[in-house]
Amino acid sequence: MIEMKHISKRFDRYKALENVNLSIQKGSIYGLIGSNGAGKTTLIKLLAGIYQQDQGEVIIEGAPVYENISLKQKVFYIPDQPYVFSHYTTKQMARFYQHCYPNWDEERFEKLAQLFEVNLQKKIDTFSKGWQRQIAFILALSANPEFLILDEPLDGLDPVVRKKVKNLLIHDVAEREMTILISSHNLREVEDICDHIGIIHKGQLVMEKELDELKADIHKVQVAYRDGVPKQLLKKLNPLHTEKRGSVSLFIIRGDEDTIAKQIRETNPVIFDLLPLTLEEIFIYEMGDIGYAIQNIVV
Amino acid sequence: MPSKISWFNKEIIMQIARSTGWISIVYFLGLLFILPIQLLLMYSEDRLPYYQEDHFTLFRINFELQIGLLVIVPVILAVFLFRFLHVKQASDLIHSLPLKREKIFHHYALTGLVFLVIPIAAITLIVLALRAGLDLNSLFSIKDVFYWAGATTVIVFLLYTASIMIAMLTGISAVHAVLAYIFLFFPVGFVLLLFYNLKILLYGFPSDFFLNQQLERMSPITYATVLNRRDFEWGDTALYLILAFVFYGLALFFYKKRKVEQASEAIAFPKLRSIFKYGVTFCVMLLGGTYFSGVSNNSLSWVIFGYAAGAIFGYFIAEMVLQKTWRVFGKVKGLAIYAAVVAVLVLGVKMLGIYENHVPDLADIESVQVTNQPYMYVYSSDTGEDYYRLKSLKEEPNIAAVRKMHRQILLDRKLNQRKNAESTTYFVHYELKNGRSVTREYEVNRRLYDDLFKPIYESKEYKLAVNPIFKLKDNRMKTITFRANGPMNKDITLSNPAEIKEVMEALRKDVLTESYKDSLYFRDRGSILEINIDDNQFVQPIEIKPTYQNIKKWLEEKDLRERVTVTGDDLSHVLVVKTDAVNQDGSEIPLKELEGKENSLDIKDKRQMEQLLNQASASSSKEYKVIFYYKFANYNEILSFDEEHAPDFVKSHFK
Repeated sequence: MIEMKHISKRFDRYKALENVNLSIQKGSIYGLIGSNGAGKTTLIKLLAGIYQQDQGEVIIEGAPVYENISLKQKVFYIPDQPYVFSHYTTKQMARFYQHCYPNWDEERFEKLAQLFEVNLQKKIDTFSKGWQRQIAFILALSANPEFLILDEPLDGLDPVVRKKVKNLLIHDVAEREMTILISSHNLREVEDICDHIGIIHKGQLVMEKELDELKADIHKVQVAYRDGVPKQLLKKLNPLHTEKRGSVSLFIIRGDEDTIAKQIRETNPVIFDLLPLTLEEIFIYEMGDIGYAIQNIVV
Repeated sequence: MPSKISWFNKEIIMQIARSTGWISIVYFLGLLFILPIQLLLMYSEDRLPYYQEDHFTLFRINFELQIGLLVIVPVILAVFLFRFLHVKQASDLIHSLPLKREKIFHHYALTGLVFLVIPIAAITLIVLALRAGLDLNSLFSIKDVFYWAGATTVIVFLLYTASIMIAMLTGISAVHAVLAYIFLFFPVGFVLLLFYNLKILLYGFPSDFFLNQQLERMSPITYATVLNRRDFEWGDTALYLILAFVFYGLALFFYKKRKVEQASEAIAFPKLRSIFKYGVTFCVMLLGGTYFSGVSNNSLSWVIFGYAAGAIFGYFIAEMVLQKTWRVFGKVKGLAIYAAVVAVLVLGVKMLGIYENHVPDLADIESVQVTNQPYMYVYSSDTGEDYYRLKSLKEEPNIAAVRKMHRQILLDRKLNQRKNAESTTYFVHYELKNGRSVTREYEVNRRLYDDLFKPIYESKEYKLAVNPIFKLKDNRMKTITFRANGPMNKDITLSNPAEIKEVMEALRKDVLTESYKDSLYFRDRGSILEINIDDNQFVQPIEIKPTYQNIKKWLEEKDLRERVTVTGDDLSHVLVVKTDAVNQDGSEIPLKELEGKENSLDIKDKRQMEQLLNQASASSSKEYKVIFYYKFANYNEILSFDEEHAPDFVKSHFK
């Protein structure tokens, strides 16, 4: 369980995060979505124990993370641009991590290296960017962390490798109940592996939701009546959004699918469709004004 | 299987070795060529130095190169070691690892220290082996080798710990190196600047008095540059080691306080930024003032220009470093506030004049030291000797006279601003009854204060307080040597204690009766007396002026005068020329011009020539010029005398 309580962080005069509350359940994959400069990296570095917050608490498994060694041994952080000591080979880097992370699994490391076909004796900085990222994943997973913190991890990977990495992550989560925080500037990129989503905008966490719940909870309804939409119904449904195209009315409604269908049918509409929303639509309607401002990250 | 995690992390040390080990190797190779190989080379060419009288130290071998390495290596090592703090990605990586900051710090700092010590230790062993193998025992002892190793280690240790402390305060490696050297030089540089500027600002500020306190000690770098001449003392060793530990502790303290995100900021602690900014402004302002006071001959408007230019320069330089861009010229608010504060402070100090106008009350003064030769009696390196130290005057007439002169100097402030050929420096140091002291120093036009200084100079107390001959016990004198003040070697050394006693008695009588006027007129004239005491030390030579009758009599009685004084026999002839105007600015008239003058008086008579020798002054501002032509080596000497001292035969000739 990862928790952030009332976190604020400033860089000199610039406010990077303000009063952020966040919680991540054990064994879940949490997608942190935000545009560039929204505060994703700051938030992640606070979780990784690199930065120290100005206010609030960063808690993992009930204890603050900053300078907490026994806790940090269970946390592995991969930055947006993987960095290794210059002229280090994968093998040397593995030795280094082995001496820092007590849960290091040498067998797993060798297996993963084989799976990804990595030349262990080659200097890491001579690899291409995509390869460096794969190596970072291999090293991270070999450390057997309970919490994996990934800053824009899929950027710059080709679709095949992307698939491979995602499978590995899902495998570890399923098998060891590993908790993952994964940040991205695009929801689409991570929606297939995340079960929770947090959206960060201008240093504030504007929304935090479970994806399934989100999808089940919101609906698009198209209806047409002979004599116009009954006022009674509108009051009952309390739609987030209404739109009228000719005689057809379009509502975005929150609530249980069956209840909504039942209520509408009772009013005898001429046309009635209940449609699922795309993720993009959900976010835009859910978040109202902010939704439009951050459309680019959910498209 | 989980691997064992111990406090000592081998892989971190491997990482440090991989990235900075080369510096240790370069240091070792450098020292290898500078010391052992140089010794071998000198040995093979049979030109090993001989240091019999003087104490030999290994620092004398390729000293400049040794100092170069000594000053560069520890700072560079610190810069490379803690580069991980200054590169964002490296900083993130290291600090995301499950390692406590203390552990990271100790691993890096101590590994670096070992990297510095290993080359020194290795060279020590090699030199010891060479000494045994090549039989260099006579050149240096085993102790000398360890002295070298110890002194080098202590200085390296201090430079290194100071540099790692600076590493914590900045976020840019280049700024780190520059700041480290600024920090190491800062005590010396700042004190020099500050005292020099106080002298400009405050009339009478005795900057030389304060600057004379062995400044090189204040920076390990300047201290290192005199190691070939001076021993590294135990007190300094202890001080340096304590400082090194303090810096190490502070470095750790700052590291724990430091925020990781400050990588790539010039100054890593926001609170330090304004200190840095105004500190730089202040120092460059002082530098500007110092420079313009030097090049403009103390012209007030140029000095003020220098301060203003310096402050503006310093301010914008600091801003550029902090903002990491040169386009900072819009931010002048801070500069305006700074200028206002400085102006108020300076004007306040000047208006109130507490410092400048302060002359202690007679009733408050316990004693006073005064001299017109501070460079000889106060700042000289011999002042450590008790016989050289200026004694205090306690008699009330003297204290009152000093106060009177001091007050007059304050009143003449404007007059003394102009540089004058006959300027002299008065040093005054009051000890007050309340335990405090007041020290002032003035460079003044001597003539203005002759009348005021005369009673002080001619008092017995002053003479006893100043002259070493009154403070030296006769039995400390091993030999005394008379030496004629001329081109030929005429000297005599006496070692008989009875004779020494007689000479000193005669000399003391002469000095006590000497008038202030004569002391000025006959300065640098007459034979020289050298006193050799205890362990081959020499007291500064004493002039046996032509007016010293008692000693002249003693020499004549012993029939020694001819052998230690320039006499008529040494001269071929003497030419006396009368010049029209008294030459005020002290510039000398060339010999050719003097010889070409009409109506000159050529003297060959021995008695007359000797009379001229006894009346001439070394000062060039008198109206009669007199040229002494020696028989010896075609040598001549131009002196002068005034109307008052002119012998009758000269007066009658020029009538």
